[in-house]
Amino acid sequence: MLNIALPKGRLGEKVHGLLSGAGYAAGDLSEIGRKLVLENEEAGIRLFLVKPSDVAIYVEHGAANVGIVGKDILEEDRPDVYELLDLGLGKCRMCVAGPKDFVDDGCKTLRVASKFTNIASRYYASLGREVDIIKLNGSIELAPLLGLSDLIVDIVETGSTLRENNLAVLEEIMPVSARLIANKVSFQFRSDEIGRLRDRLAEAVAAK
Amino acid sequence: MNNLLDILSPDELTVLKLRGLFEEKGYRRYRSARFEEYRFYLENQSFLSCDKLISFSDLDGRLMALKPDVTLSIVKNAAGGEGLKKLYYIENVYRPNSTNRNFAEISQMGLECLGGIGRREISEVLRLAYESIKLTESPFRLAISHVGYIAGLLRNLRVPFQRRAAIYECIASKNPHGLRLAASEAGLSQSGAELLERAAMLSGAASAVLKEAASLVKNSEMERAVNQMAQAIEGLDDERVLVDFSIRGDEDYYSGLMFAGYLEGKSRLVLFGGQYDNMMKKMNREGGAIGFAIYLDELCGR
Repeated sequence: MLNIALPKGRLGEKVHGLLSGAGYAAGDLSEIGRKLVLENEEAGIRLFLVKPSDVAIYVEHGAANVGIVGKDILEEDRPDVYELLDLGLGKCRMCVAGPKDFVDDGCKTLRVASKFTNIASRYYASLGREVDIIKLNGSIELAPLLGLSDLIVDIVETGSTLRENNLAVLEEIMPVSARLIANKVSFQFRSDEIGRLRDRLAEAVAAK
Repeated sequence: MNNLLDILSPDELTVLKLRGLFEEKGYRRYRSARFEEYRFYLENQSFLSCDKLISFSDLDGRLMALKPDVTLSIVKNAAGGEGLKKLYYIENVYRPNSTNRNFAEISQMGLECLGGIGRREISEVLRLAYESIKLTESPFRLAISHVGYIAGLLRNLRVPFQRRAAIYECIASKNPHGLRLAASEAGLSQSGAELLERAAMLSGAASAVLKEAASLVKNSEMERAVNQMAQAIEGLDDERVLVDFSIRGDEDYYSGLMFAGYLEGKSRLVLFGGQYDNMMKKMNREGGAIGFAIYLDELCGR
């Protein structure tokens, strides 16, 4: 049985659909609230839904053999796992955003609010810019509006939330999409099964 | 008491068996000091898996560090002179734990063969690595790689030096989509990028993968790498030995065969090693060297 960790939420639903299309159907996702785990013995898989930021933890520690997780979380936490496939789902961008007319005059330490503090720190370190990183867990767009920070680093999908709040994307840090990851030890013992899953998912992605 | 061995815990018994294995092949126990000068580790930072150290000022004002690694100390203190040095150690090292929030005392056992090493010594050390994980009696895999294979290919493809780190990072995480991007940023042609992806993503049962690896050889460096891997695994059980080019070490230190050991059901590798002639050169020591470390906490499941 291959243990597969999926992220709760919209991305999890999309991936569940993709897995079903790739021959790894495992029950109805609506059942998972009750059952916690969905199995398909024939296909040899067991699915479970966890918080998106926990997927890589389950995989790194071997509780899940493989998982599906956003590149944003992989880049933020840099877990020691294999990154086998770009699923091209849940596409968005990691961006620096702020007031539309913001100009960095370089005179003072920038205050940057973000859920992705490691990505933000590394990005500004690569520019040699001194920043104060303010860790927030949600509603990041609020920070510049209330003067908590000058800028934010966050994922941007359509940009509508930013626009509604008179904010704009100022710089793009990296593109983000969902990735198939695998535990390094599991891969060595079950490379056939994991390789098959990767190939079928790749075909399903290409067919979309 | 009839049998003193009965009072040993399974972990102690494992260490004793490993000592027996190493002593039988003529390896002698090396004991190292608990700390070295901080700057020694600073100078060799890229060999260490992490740059965080426990440091303190000694009574004479020198900045010291609790050792995060034993191999560097062995090369500095024990290598040199005539002939071969065959050593093993059982020591604690101090590194951040896997969550990176605290330092941990990690119990490590390792073996090093230094000096005029040749084909015989390389095979012997690889076999000892194989036997070491085998004696846990759990299903295991030993995966091997060779620094020269991918390095030779990158030289053949004329990949600029400053672009290699990004490529190696993608190979280490078996990330084909990242590799394609890194290859295009390095200015590789489509055929060059495809060849790199094919070679870098090779992994699986040793004999089959080595055949495929041989078919992609582009220069003598790659050829030598394939031949050395084939020689090193002679006589080992093909079902348990894999070739996997995601295993790699820093070229400043490692120069040849690399290998990693895995036990089923564990979340991390239990053994890691390789040939590190370049480190010997860097530290002005004669000859080459090969060795490995066994992570006892992982191996014994503590």
